[in-house]
Amino acid sequence: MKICGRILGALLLFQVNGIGLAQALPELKNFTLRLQGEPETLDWNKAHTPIENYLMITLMEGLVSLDSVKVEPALAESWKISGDRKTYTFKIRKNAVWSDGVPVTAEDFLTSWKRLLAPETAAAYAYFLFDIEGAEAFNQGKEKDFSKVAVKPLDSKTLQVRLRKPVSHWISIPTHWVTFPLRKDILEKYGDQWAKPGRMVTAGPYLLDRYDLNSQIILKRNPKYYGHQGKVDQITALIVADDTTALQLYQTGKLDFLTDFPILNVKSLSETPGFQIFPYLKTVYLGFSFSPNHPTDAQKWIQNPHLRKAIAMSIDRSKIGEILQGKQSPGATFVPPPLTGSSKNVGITYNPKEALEEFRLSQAPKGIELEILILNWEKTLTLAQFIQSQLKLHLGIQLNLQPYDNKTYRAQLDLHRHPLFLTSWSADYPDPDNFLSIFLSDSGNNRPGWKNSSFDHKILQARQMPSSSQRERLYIEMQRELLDKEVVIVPLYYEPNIALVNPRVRGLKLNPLNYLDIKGVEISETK
Amino acid sequence: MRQIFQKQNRFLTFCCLALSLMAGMAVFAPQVTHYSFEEQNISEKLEPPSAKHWMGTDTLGRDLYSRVVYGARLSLLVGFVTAISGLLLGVSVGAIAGYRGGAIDLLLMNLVDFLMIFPSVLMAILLMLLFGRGPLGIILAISITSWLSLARQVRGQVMQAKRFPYVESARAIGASPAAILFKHILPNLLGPILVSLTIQIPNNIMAESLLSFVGLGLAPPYSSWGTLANEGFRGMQTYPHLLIFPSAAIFITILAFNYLGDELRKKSEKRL
Repeated sequence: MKICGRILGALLLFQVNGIGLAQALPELKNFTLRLQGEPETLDWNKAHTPIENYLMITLMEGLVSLDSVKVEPALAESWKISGDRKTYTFKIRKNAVWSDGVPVTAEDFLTSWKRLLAPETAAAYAYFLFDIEGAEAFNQGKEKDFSKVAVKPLDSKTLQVRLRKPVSHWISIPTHWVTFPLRKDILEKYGDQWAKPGRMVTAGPYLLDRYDLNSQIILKRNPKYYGHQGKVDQITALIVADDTTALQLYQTGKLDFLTDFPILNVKSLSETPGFQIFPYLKTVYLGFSFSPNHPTDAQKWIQNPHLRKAIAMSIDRSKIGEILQGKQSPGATFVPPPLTGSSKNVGITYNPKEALEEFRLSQAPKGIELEILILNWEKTLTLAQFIQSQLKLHLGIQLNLQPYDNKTYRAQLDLHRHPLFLTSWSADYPDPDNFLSIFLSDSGNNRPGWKNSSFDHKILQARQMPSSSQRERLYIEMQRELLDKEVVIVPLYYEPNIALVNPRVRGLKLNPLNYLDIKGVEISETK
Repeated sequence: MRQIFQKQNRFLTFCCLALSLMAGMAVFAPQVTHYSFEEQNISEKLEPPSAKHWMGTDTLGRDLYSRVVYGARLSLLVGFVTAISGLLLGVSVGAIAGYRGGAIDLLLMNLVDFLMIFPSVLMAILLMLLFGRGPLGIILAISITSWLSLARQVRGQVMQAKRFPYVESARAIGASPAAILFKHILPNLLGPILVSLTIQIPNNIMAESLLSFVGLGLAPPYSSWGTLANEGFRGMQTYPHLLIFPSAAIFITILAFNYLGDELRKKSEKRL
């Protein structure tokens, strides 16, 4: 027994001193990040929530990618745009291969885009390809033959796309993961279940190695990747729903990177070495519901532009940064700075006196009760309570908060039951069109349900304008209508991406679309 | 022995005083606070306890002392109302099942068994979704789940008591079943019932805190101790006062009720 104890003790010492296996094998460089919940899917045609964002970009690449806000070559080494700005010809890299060694071809893009547009896929982002000739008709089932959609492989390494009209931002579209290529043979073999470890093939810097449901997802370096190999051997994405738990994991060294953490800790964490602020194209806004589906009394009152104006004027947006402590800046235009079309001179400003006058003009009853739909997250609850007190103080409005968890909240947003709601929009591509086009009458992201044909026309008109100054003028004009005249929404604030990065991590890049570039990440030796 | 008894008595006095203080705070909330529980003063946010704000201020600059005092109203209201309504339901069902026996007993006790299968918090969450958020939803949800064990306990005691000679005598002189149950059996069970009430109140305060803590309780700006603790929990490293005061209120109240219940139980056991 004594001998056993000694052997055990010696073994323990052996381990503690770091001699033994740990030193015999080279240390595995692992980068750990956090996912706020279980990804809905890793199928890049279908993934559409911010939770999948980091994984998609790390596993795979598209024709082009975004370095900060500039479009860079990715699987396509070059591209040409025709004189009429309608035809795009992409040249795919000769050395680009899938993780099983099969070359990446133009056919793979065709397979993916056909699937993305197919009505039976029901992909949330199918509309991303609608600018391609024939794509919208194919998605709506009016055209059954995909050969009528203007996506053509000229040879195995050349892909040609023709748009129905010139679109100034279109080159940004193939940066999004929904457009990433897919292999026909893999799809035929596994069907919709292809995005699983052991089945998924990728052409990005990392591979899907392991997926433990509701626990973690592990990615390993892809040795067949055409570009520079990532310096980290393994990426572990821990699924941690609670912000406080995630922060504790970071503080105990179990997480290397974290973006959402309790606001009460921002101030003290801002003095720690890992605290970093990254620019982010995101606008948080208060929306009014225009949908006539559930005409309650409050819904009817909110149709009155004077009441909407009164609400917009009674919220002091300059205080929000101080309350939320996340370096938020007060909102003016819906398009956030530094994008074209953002301006401080558009949008309704805080003016409690005029707010009261507008409230009188609206003839809404004193002490009117309104409901606001919000997420039950700490930050939105705090913000909503601030708005609640501002409306009570300046207008005597009783705002009842309706907080729901993410899934229920999204379902309620689609139902348009609440006259007011709090939500945000962050960019999919760095262009004002991505912000303002959500208010197109037929957009699936048009949360207020506001429809205006002249606004729709202007959006499409701006897309075709080659001159940036002309576009800017039109975007400002559109926002004067959206924010000052119609008061469809009230932009509350713009928010940077506040992150905690373990000081042992170097070279991490997070672009303004919240795309995390892990390729360049280096991990210094642990002591 | 005498010393211990005196010490216990001192603690009992402390518990009674603490409970009276909490109840007093809840009843006279407007008189014992200087600030409104919902008035925001952003320039004074997240201040530590001071002479001006005894328990400091929260993230929107609201006075935490006022919020804890007004929180007592909701927490104690929920605790008392749910315990009493649960008590009425539990005693009635238990007494009827125990006294009548047979098919009715079988039916009622199967119902109790069936409802007991569901974890009480899960059941409360389901009921909250049905009744909606707000004080009424919480009270109904907790009341409905908190009578089950009491019904079983009362049933057992009634079954036992109905064989006692005093019940037989009452039956012999022609008393109706209702009279026997309400005039003779239940008054004798008052001790254990009171004990269970003092245990049920803190349990229900905890249940409310738990529901509020997981974000299913009252909607802001209304706050109970549970919602306050939930808010404070997130910033416990930086602003510990936000967590300490509401948790202390919950802790003291529950400790006092439990100790009081324990003492009452001891006394009623001695009497038996």
